[in-house]
Amino acid sequence: MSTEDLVTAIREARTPLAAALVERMTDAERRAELPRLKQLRRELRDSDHSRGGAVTALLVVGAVCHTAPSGAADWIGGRDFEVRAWDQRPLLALLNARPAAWQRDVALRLARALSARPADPIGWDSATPYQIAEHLLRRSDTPPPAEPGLVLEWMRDRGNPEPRRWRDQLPPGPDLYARLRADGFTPVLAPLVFDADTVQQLSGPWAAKDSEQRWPAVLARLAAEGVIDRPALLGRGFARLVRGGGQGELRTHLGVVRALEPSSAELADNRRALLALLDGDSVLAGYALESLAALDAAGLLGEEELAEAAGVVWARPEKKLVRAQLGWLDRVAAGGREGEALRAVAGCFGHPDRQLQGQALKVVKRHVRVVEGELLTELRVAALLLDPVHAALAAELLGVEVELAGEVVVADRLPEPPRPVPMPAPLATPAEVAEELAAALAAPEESVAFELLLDGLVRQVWTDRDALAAALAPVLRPDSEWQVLGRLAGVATGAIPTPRVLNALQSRRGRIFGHWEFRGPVGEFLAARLHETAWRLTADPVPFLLATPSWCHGALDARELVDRLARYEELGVQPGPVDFAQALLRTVGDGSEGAEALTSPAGRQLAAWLRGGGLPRRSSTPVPPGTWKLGVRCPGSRRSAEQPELSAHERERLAIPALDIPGATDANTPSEALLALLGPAEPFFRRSAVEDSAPSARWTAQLPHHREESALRITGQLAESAATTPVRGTPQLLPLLAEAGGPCGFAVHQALAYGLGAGHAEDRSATVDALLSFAAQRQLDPAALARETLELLALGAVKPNRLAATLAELADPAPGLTWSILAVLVPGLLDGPPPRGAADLVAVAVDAARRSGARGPIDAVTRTAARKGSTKLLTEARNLAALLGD
Amino acid sequence: MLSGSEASVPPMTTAVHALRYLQPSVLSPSRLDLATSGGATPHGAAEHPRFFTGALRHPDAAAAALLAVADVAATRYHRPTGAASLDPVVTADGDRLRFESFSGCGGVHARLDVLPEGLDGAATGHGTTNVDVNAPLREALRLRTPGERLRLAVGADELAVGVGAEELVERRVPLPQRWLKGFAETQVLTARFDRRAALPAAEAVRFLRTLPAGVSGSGRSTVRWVLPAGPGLRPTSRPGPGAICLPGPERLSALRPLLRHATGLHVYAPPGTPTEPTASAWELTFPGGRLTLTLSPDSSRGFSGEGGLLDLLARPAGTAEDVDALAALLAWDPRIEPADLAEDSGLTPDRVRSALAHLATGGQIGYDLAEAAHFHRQLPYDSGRVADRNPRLRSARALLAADAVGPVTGDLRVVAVGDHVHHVRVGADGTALGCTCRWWARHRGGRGPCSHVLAVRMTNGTDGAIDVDGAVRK
Repeated sequence: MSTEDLVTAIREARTPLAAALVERMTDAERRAELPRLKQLRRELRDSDHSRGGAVTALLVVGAVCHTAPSGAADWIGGRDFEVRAWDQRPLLALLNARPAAWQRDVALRLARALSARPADPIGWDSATPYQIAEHLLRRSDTPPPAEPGLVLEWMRDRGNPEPRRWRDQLPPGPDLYARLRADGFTPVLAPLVFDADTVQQLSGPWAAKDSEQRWPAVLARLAAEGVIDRPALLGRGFARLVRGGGQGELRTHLGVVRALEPSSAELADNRRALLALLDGDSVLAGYALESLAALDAAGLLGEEELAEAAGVVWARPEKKLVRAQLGWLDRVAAGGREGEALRAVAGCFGHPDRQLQGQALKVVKRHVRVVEGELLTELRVAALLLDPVHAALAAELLGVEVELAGEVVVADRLPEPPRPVPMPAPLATPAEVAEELAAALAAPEESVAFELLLDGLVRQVWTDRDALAAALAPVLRPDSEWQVLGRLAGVATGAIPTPRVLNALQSRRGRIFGHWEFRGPVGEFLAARLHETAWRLTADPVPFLLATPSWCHGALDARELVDRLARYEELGVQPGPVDFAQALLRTVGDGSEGAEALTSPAGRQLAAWLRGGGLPRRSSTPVPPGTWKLGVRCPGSRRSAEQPELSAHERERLAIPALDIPGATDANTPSEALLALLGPAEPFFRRSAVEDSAPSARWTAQLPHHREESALRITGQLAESAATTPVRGTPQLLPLLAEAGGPCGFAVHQALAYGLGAGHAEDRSATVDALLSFAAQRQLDPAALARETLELLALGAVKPNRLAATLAELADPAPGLTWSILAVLVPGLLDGPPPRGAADLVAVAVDAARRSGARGPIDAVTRTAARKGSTKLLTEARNLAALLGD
Repeated sequence: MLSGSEASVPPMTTAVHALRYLQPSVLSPSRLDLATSGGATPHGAAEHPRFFTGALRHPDAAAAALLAVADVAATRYHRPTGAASLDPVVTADGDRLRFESFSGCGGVHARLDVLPEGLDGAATGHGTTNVDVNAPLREALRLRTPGERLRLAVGADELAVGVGAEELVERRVPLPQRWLKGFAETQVLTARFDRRAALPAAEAVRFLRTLPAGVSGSGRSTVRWVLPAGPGLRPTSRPGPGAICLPGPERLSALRPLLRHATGLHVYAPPGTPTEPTASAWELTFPGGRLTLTLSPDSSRGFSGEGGLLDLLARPAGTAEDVDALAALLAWDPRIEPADLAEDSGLTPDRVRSALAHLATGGQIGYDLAEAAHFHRQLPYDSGRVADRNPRLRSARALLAADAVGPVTGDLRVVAVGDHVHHVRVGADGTALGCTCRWWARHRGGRGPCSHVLAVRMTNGTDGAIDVDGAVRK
């Protein structure tokens, strides 16, 4: 027989011949075949036309030619041997003919390799190494090693309903129980299911017809029959739960433990684990609490353990768990162990929720007759932590006038009023522009760098376009054009040609900046500004832009604008109408800035603008839901705001001569984009404008002296952030409104009212920041805010539970401010049928009123307090009424 | 996201580190035996040093805290796939024991200090080593019955154990390079921190309970901001005056099991008004000790990549003698006093500072925020100067080797290799200020210089002294 024959036989998939050839070889001869076999393996792996039979034969023949077990295990564990039919009779015979020591060693190595395999969430790893490992373990009478990988693959294999030729004694089909019952591996491997990454398997197998055929039930049945060591399985299960991990993972494992239905004695063996679980995932803690209570009922729990359990549960935020613990202690007390129970109940006096404190007191009340001596002292000490609303009951029960904590009236801690932050100096060199641009392209959008870069690009194009293009070369990539600033930089360097820019100015369809973020009047104005800047960059350079702010929040010093315009006059440069309009919107003045010295038409216009006090301050008014008239529209479930239109005279003040751009509309009137920005409010609330745009700091920087107007322009999006499915982000602009200038009217308060109802925690925190800042500036009218909130509550546009969360957060630093809002909100709420969650608001009101020292009865509260019943709302109303006095 | 440079560490640098223990660490009901591996002591290397035998005065808190350190080592807070478990490093410096670990993702540093008032027994020894923390031990610590006395032994008596060399517990793990770099980087970062808030126990518990518990699987990294307000902290929506960054709040969940022992919470953060997420340190105090968790600025960022030491590493080690002289003087002092060292070594304070900084790059110096002082340790890893193998430093050296750094033209130096061109902006005195590459664009020097800036700085030679915290001073 020559060497060629074996390799050829394998390549041609003549398996019996190949097996016969190998069978006759000595170990040395087999080793001599290895190089050729390895080469064949490479050949088959790289070939698209290899025959499945050839790979199968090669797997087994190659394995038995490796006389060293390490080599054989590596060979079998290779990824390219994903074959199903390795268990053909001649091939099996080859494996079976190897000495037992070899078989054992290869099998153990394969098992270790299975543990070292990377996690395989989809379950696509080859099952062949496991099958061969199992076969060899059985042939060599080796018990399966405790390898996690082996356990996992064993579960995968046994879950498979298909028949196995190599293990014909395992019955196929969906009946997992029958298979495990007949399986010698079950007693060894089944107790280890908790120690491997087996969550997916445990919720299977996929072929199971009902839950009785799934792993948890089958394991329980086998444990009950004594096939599996039940105490060991349970012990591992509890250890696994205590170890922690993902929620889904833990709950699956809990399912297995539950299926085992541990007896009291078994729970007692695992009491330390149960106590440890009380501190974990809430579902697990619930199970542990239930089990410990059962243990206690069976008289198997010590006094210290009862106290320990209660101590852990009191620290949990879940009311359900605390109530369950109180119920348990109540039963303990009723069973005659009053001292033990009440000592534990005392720990609940310090719970942050005063309703739960009340329930704890009730437990004490039921068993108060036994309270005396040391226990009484302990309870009195604990009672110091009680909420003051329980003072009367505590005094009655514990017979002592305890001075309760929390009676201290505190002043509001308001932040310093915001101080404007100056803008960084203009970007002076191409290198600085390049660096800033690279950072802006890598970072989320914001306003300061945006303004700096707009100006920086304009300045550098004016100085030396080629130097700029050279500096930007490493920064601009083909994909930079997807971003606004990248596109603008492309215009500056000439990558986007002039005709393209011209086309953008001539027709709406050719716009360069037309994607979704430029929807709505605010976005359209921004786009108009960018288009004009693009034209300046490509065809009509200027030394700098007029509208670049002096302060980070967008305001522009009038004197600075006068200086800029003077420089334009000196150079004979014509201001861009959008740039100049934006500059005017960012400026206020009183006429003392020296603008009278300017001689150009733009200069005279600026002087008139400053004399006239800039953009008029327009006060906004509410738009009730369902309004539908020209220019004003509001859907049924929302409230919005409107403002008076600009007069013809005011519009005239903003009429700026257009630049000479071929083919573009040439008119001596304010541009359409500007009129839309300042125009009727209805377009701000249009669905397309609200849903497609994400307001940013660039929006509030457009009208930095008019926060009332800025608020009006984002209220539509704020309403979305308070909706049932809240949209994240817009309330983050509320602190920016607080930093902006101008009086606060209806629109600001409406915006804040929506912010109070924001659905995301970080958005609520932003609202609190804004409220504190407005209050520090004495710009907040709490009553107006409360009235608008009531209107929104009535519509369902904000939800009481979210309001309560925001106001509770506000009450921490500023109880007085919070009470001044709630003093109007709560009566309004109690006058009608109170919505779900109103009780939470009244609870916050109680805290705020107490900490701010509020006094004086409120009719609606007194009336509600007098109603019969014991709901949380009525209890809290009574607390509030008692606090306010009569 | 892994940065490109970190991801491209060639596999050949993953050296193997062998941990050899006489026996596994075990917890019997009243006795915790922590096995030690090879480590450094003032008397030279020891196979299985013994650092402490005695009792814990506050066993419940200490056991929970030790478990927390082990849990941090076994957790990946970013992309939680598979757990990386490593044995904590223990440092004994005469009167206290410090247990340190990093999370699997490298973004959380945990240090438990068991203080003199928490230890009941003879003084501790001096030295640093690994202690074995195995799965059964963690399980036993979780299931421990509270209230019972607990004796502690760090390192066992070899004769008492009586095992032959063949029975050693040996574990071969990849050399934890990220730990090594992390030890050096956290020291640089935290030495600049100020104490920004001190919460009493009740407020600490209240605040920590509001934080999310689980590691989010989605990988959405969140950053929270808090403001000291009265006795507690209140959330705020953005950075501003007084705001403290809490990057990845779920990463503080390791403190939870300790809450019932807490006596207070101290928060440390960089001084000044932050404009972007920063690292911060959260120190929970309990009877007999404290546990400090230092969080990297983003869940996705490991301390090893923070690059705070790059400038220092890039300089030629001209101070080798100073470093040796100083290393000889340091003997696991719980507080390093640079003034005393200067006196003892005869070096000027500036040279002491610079030499200490070099020692820090090898992880030989740690920073204790509560004491506001550095302390000495000698990591039990055969590392050489692993930090030298920093990918950015390697790229910078490659750039220099390829002569890729051009001359100064205007305020630019062009760094070009093939078609890979970047412009490094330089100041009037030639110092590198910024770069056009993506690394710089993302972090703007906040995670140390990029390889291009580093290369330019290296061509400029060395000028200015270096602080112990790695900052170049002019």
